[in-house]
Amino acid sequence: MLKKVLVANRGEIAVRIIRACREVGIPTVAVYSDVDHSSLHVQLANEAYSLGPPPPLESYLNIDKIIDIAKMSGADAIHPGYGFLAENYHFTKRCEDEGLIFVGATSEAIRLLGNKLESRETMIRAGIPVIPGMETAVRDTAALVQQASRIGYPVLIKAASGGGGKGMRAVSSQAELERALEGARRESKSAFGDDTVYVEKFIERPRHVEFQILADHSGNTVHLFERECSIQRRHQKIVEETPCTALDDQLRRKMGEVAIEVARVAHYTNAGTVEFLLDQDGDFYFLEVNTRVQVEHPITEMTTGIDIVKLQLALASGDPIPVKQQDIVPRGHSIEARIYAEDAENDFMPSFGTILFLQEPAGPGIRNDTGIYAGCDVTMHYDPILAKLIVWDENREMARSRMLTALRDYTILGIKTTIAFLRDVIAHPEFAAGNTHTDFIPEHFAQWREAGDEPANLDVALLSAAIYRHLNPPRAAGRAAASGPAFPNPWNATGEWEIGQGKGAD
Amino acid sequence: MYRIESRIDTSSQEFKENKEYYLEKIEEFRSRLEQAKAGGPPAAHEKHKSRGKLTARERLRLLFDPGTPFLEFSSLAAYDMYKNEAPCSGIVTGVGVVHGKEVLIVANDATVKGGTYFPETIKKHVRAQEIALENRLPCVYLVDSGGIFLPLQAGVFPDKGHFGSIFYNQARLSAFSIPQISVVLGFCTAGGAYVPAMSDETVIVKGRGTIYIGGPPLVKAATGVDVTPEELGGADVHCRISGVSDHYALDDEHALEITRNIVENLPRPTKFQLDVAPPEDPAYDPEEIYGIVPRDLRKQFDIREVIARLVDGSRFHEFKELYGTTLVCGFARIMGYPVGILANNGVLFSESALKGAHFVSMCSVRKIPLLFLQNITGFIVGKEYEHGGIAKDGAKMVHAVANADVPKFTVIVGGSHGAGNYGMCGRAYGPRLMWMWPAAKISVMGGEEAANVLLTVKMDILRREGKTMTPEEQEAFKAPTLEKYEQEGSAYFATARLWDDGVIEPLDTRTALALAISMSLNAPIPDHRFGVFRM
Amino acid sequence: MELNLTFNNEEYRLGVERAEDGYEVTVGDRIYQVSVRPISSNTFSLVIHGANRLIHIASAGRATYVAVDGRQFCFQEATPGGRKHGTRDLPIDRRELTAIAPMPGRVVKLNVTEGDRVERGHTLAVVEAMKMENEVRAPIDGYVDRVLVREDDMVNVGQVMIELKSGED
Repeated sequence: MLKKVLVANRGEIAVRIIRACREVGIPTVAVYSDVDHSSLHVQLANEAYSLGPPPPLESYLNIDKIIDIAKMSGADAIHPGYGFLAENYHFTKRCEDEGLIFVGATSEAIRLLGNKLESRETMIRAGIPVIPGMETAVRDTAALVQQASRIGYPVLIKAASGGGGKGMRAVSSQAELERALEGARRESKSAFGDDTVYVEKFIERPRHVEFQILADHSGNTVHLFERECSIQRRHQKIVEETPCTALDDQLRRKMGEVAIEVARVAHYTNAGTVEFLLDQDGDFYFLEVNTRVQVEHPITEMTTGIDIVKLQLALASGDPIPVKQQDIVPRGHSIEARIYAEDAENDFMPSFGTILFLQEPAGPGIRNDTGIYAGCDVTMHYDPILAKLIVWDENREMARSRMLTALRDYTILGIKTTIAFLRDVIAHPEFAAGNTHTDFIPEHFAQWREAGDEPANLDVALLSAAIYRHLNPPRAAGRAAASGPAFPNPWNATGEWEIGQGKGAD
Repeated sequence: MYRIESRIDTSSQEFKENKEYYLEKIEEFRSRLEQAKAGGPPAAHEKHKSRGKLTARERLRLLFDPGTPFLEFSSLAAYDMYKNEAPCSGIVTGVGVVHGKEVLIVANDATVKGGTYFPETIKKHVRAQEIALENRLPCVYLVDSGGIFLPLQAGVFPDKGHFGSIFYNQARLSAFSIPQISVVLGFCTAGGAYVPAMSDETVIVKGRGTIYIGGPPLVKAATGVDVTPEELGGADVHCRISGVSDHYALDDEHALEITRNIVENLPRPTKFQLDVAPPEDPAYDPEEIYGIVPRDLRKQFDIREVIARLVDGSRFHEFKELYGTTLVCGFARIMGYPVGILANNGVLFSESALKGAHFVSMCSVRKIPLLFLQNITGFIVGKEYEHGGIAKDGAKMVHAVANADVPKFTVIVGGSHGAGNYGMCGRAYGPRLMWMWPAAKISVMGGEEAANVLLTVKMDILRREGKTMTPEEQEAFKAPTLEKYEQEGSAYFATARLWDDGVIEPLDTRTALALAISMSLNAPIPDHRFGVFRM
Repeated sequence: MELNLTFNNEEYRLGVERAEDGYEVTVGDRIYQVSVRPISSNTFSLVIHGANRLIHIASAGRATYVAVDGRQFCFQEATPGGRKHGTRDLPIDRRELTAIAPMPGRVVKLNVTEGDRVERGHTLAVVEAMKMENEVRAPIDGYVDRVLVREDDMVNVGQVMIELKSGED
């Protein structure tokens, strides 16, 4: 078993990992940047150390500092969570060199799978189906144009070292190609420091289907079935579910086998996710492998009953996989909705501020993976994910209904969140019918505004606000009530104050 | 009441530049204030502490109820004078809260030249007593002073308003039933000995506090007898033998605790009842004031924009809005208290002055406190206006303001020049408290006008001699005047000489005014009485 | 108590009065009888004309956040922006269609010519006297109809300097 785990992350995933460690009795070390000094993960860990200023490069991406803290605190393992250093093979390599256990794949597997072109070539050699496209990356625009015509429009431009939709462009004709190339290169350069791009066949209205895999050090590999993650805004997932409504048993089995084959080809260990695009004819194409725990891993946990994070810890310490493929039988249906601090009415712009009030839903089949608490500050420095709401029920329709109820009970006041937007997505008839694809949000929710559903609700909210302001008048009057008689004497109501101390404004 | 409608564009370049400029001024103010509040040099602090004594400000925090405001006066007295060796002029004065009662305090700072009295120290002490008298505030004197600063004796000893006034005032305050308490925490020598001796109740600290008319060196010189300070006039002497002191304290903390007990037992004053409403924050952000006040005070700005950021709900019932428009008059509330506001929107004309006189007499009859917001270059000049009787109309306003016995408060937000200063309740017109904003200016006239007046006089003389000056010579002639006015016109020059009760940040103004109005109500508002108005 | 709240750029006038067993609240011209059962400092249950509603509520500065049945509203106390007050709040002379000299003096700057589009608050001209520069601002949104002065002209207090016509013309 691992002796002590440093969690090199923040937010809900850090909390999730720390809780898993606590359950199996492993002490934890949290790291945090200055703005996160009172975050939930810092509160929960056995030890916590500062990484310094908030910019990621100086904090959660600062390899030297994190390694130093691991050694100083006596941690023997590092769990990277997702994002930040999770898929940085330099970091994994550094852990391996320093004798620290990296909870995840090997640096070689991460390097190979992190390079889209190289992994693609490897997969083609192994007979894995991939999207028709370029076999090699070229910097030469003319060659790219030629390749695009060979593949046939529409084509998709992608960044060689990309992810998360950055640097991605769909192009429907040669006329648009050059300008799109330029933009994709620029975006890729600024996001990943590398402007190599390639083109591939653009598949219309595909579904995004991924398989969770687990592999131990002896080469035993199993999959935990699929997740469908087609509901995306700006190429980032916001609603995920399992099982996928578009798979029958035969296709599911076939994709599962291919996923395991991908892991074998890459000599993969620990938990990972093999992503596919599934087109409308039921053909599927290998996309990439996410060499880490996925944001949406909980829905698989809900249907399979397997705790993926705990298993990651066991696999990292060298344990074998405790189950056989035939023993893994998913049950029921699970959906996850990601709650972001974003303004869905305004192009999902991040929203910052203090969470003034928080009420989380509870009940049978409801799980809430969160990194927030009432009173915490949501800052501009990091990914604006606040929490993930996960539900489980016997079938999809029941799960959907449970999700709608749970979202209705989820109240976060003080910042803008995607809760109301998610309710409308889950309630949408096309979602109810299972007609999901990666263009679902742009197609159905392009100019979304929060419905005032019943106009009466606005009046109720207004009159509530009026009563609240009446009961809690602004500062000066508030103290007045405490100091007794009709109206306050400012000498009693002002509080500590002197000229020139900057207390005049509030 | 209607709300003032702001017409400020907070996104304009002008606004941003003004704000940037004013925020720099605020920074400068805060650093100067901090420097003044630090008191004497580090060595003096160490010596003070080594005697087991607390600093003046530490003593005050122990004296006051925790979590209560302290309205300090003239923190920048003697600023930039005496090579800045008398920060805060060596004395802290202000109003704080003890057992829920507003109390005026005067505390010597012994880290500044042993707490001795410079001319500004006396002026500040006497001014504090004047505030106590006008507002009927109990006084607490925290005494720790070596008496008069001997090198400057001629400027502090004999005249009215000099050292003697302190004890004269104590007697007069007492006659008005205003309680006075002395706490002797250090030296209290010669004339200073009358401070505790003339108080209602006196506390003295064992081993540190001494009271005597002549100290050991004087005794030795006069009688040849060696005597220690403690034997001559320590706590044991005065509490057990002479009866000069009433309460025996073991240290500073103990002395201040006893003082709190004394105040606890003073009768609670009943305040004059004004028609008070529930307080309400201004509807507009007060911080916007920084973008409203122009960098160049010669640029007129709508004073209503400032009023909107000082008064409750930004509501203002304006009086005679369309008449005499260069003076804005109207009713508003500050933290629930009613006030009549007079504020400048340009030069005073006959109409503005008449309107002002009308409004002041109205507030006086109704017993509503007056707030003057000064941004004034003066009364209008010119043949037409002299013929129109600007002098007698201006006189009416000056007369009304001088005789209005309601509490008056003055804030110089922009310029304060000429007879405008008088009509708008300048220092000589008895405002209960008067403040300047950090970027405000005060002088008999603007520097430019003064230089031009002097130049015109000079040119007339030269012309008679058949000479003249080139434009360059004219500029050179004007330069020293401009520089002098620039320096002497600043808020810091004014406050150093106690022409006001302190420099104050715009954002503190609302709170300070509310505290000041509440404080003023400890004294009853008398019925109005005016003299002869020249019609 | 009265207050104005804005939501989605609409301003709502609200009034709260204590009533027999709770409050009488007016929202615009609608009147509600409301009784309040406090649950915690941020949660209360309202009974409005017999129906029960659970409310979560919090405020920071001028913003008040309310959740009703899972729908969230953020209200701003209608003020600093406050540009939308009705004419009730407008002093009389600002509704007039002329820009007048605020004081006697010399026109040192003229910023507009006939036909120019102006917005309320724009500086049309600057008059200087007794070393004070006074900005003459547009009292309304509209167009410059006639300019009656030139730079360097002497003007008297109250003299009409510029005539405007309103935006609809």
